[in-house]
Amino acid sequence: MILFQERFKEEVREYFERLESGLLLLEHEPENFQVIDEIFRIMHSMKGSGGMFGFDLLSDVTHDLESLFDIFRSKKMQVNSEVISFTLSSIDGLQHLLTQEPTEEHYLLAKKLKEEAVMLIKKLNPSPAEINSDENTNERVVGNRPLDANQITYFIAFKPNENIFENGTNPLYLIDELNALGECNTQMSFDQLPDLMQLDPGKCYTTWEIFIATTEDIETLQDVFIFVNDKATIEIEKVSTGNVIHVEAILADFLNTRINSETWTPLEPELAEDIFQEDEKTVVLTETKQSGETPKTAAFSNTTVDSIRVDSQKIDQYMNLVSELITAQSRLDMLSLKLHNSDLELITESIEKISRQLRDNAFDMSLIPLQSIAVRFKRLIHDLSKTLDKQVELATDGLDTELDKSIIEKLIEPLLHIIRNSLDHGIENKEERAAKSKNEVGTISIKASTVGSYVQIEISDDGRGLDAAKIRTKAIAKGIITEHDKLSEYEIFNLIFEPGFSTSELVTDVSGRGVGLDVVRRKVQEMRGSVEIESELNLFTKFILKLPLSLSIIDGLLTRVGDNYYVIPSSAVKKIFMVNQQMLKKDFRQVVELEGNQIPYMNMHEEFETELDLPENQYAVTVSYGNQSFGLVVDEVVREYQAVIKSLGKLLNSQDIFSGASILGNGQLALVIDTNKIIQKYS
Amino acid sequence: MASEIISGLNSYFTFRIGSELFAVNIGNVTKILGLTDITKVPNSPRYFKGIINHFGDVLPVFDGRIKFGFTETEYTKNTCILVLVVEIEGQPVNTGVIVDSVEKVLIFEPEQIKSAPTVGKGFNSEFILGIATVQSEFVIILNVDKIFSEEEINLIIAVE
Repeated sequence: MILFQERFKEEVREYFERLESGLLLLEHEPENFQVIDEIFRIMHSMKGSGGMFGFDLLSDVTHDLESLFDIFRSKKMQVNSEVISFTLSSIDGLQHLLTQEPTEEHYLLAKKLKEEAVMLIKKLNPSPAEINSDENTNERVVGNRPLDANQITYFIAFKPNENIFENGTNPLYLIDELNALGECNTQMSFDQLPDLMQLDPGKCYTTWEIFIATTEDIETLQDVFIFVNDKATIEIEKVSTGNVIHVEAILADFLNTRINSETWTPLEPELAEDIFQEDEKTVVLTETKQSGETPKTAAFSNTTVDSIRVDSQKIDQYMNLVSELITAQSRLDMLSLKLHNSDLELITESIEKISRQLRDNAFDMSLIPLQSIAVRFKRLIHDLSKTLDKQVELATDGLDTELDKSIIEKLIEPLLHIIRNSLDHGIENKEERAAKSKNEVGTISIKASTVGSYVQIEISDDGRGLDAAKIRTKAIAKGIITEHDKLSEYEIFNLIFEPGFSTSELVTDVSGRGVGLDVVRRKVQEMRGSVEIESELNLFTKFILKLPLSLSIIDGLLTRVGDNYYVIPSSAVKKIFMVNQQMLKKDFRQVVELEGNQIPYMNMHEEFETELDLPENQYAVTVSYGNQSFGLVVDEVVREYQAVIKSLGKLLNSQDIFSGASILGNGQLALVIDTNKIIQKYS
Repeated sequence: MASEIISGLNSYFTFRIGSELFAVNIGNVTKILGLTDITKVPNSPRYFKGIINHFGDVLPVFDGRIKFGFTETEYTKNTCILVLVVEIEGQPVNTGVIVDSVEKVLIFEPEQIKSAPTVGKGFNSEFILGIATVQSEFVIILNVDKIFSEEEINLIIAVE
């Protein structure tokens, strides 16, 4: 039972999300009845299953919300922003009520929500008789569907030959296929079944008689049987226009005509309609099977499920196994190189290919689109713009860009923080915007795209922008830089990521709760990503986040220093140069001149292998650091390498210039360099 | 993977570092490995020797001699890596310690274990569960969870 309840909670959280996104959509399109219907439907199922699993408070409050939405569903009133705001905050309340052991506090909250809902209902809909009519209306919806005039009822007689099994056909699949096309009434007949003694279990003795009400045409029905045409007798006949499956009189009539070998005249629409009227009760009370096929236009209400839910732990496990496979595969690779056996090389090659595909596939599986957290942004902007009395619109682009599940999870907080910042500090209030002759409605735009093995997310606002002079003064006051530091505009802007820097003069309720943008930077860097800022005074501020596609496997450059191997993430690598000791200047500043540029460097050999002599020729791998370059000097660049990163473990947390270790094909370990950290430490 | 740490057993695993005989509860010992190549991790404390590939996982290895304040010596054929499972922040974590030699498993009843003396010989009693005697030799029973929780501290247990 506990298992079911957990699953229910999970389901409800999904409901909440769908409700939220529905409500936010409704704000722009108050007359989108499909959305209203969907909201109503979600509330209804939430109420029902909530009660079933013992979440009584939840189902109680939902009942009132449902009544509220019944008003809009029955088109008595139009949805207004008050209702949307109320419902959104009620959903927040409901999240707290998702408990089976309610305390006093929960009861009070539920009571408050219920009272508010009832008040709102009264305000919108003075006649109370209508409020509790939801049970009836609900059935009307169910009853509505069979009245679809586009449907036609057909009769299908399907008599497979006895030997139909011989070529592997399963007649039941065909019946299933028909079921998918429309509502079916299927009868099996065992008339042909011989005595047990004569029965050959390899033969088919069953025949089927099917009534189907469908919007498809007769050709489509014939197509179902296209592969068994010569192995079965199939008769398809039109019974009536409209859905008459539940009208037994017609069906009986039809079958009688068939038995007497008479010709059946398909019923005309008007006639069928009449029968409908008579038989409406039966129609109404019947459970329909076809809810899935009513075409729905709005993307929001698209409920056809072509995906399955998988426990995220299983995905993690799968990813781990794939990582191990790749480690094993690279071992095989090494062995094959050593043995020079052409047969082995062939196998190795194909295994390498398969495991790479498997890796990509596993990656793909654990990727989810940014869209999945977009509701949170919309919600934040909706709520905040009300609180701050600013009009803000959200423009999004490329939210179908996919990222690793674990990254998305870790990304929510920093992104919300940035948006909060933009709304609070970036976008000006209406008067200020008017004075600057800007559009009164501010825009926050979120743009995502995949750039190589990175995902880039840009969050920009058309607000007041950053004032470099102001930031500089403040940074000096805070002791982050000194009077004498000469910084480019870019560097000054990036000072706002320093701990203890907060741009707003007054600490507001919205942002500036002590956690600053330094937390954003730290979180992003923890994911081996980076964050930069661009801005122009009075025009815009743009945050640019770069994130790796995955956390556990990276493409890297395998390098050697002394006897040890190090992996430099490819995403940071710009170029590789061969250098000699004369080029590596060690005067007062360690720089190496490459392609005419003076690039600061760090000789890993000198830092890590103090006992060994420096080789004459080394390689400088230039990596990007912010918008600059930095050289990492190694003894040898071995090859490109797919590194499965293993954590160094809790005991080595203080060791931050390496983000982990990777096991090489020969079982040796290579340390994976965190380029940002190592540069910060050595430059 | 590190299984549950079994405690409460009276069996203790003994090993030597320098002149001293040490013991840890058998529940903390997962494996004894021969000395293999250790990948050093630059910029780490001196007692931290590096990492090894331990059946596909990364195992950190400490040098018991340095950690416990003995002078470093050449490794011998008896030198080996003792894999201990210790609890860090509530999680069982595998960690390797290089010891001079491993001895055997001994059983100490609780009454045989005396509390550690607080003075003399430079013991840091916080890391010691107690002292037992075997054939007129002292055995220092270590509190492994404590030893690794204070990783930055160089443990001066013995002064030679």
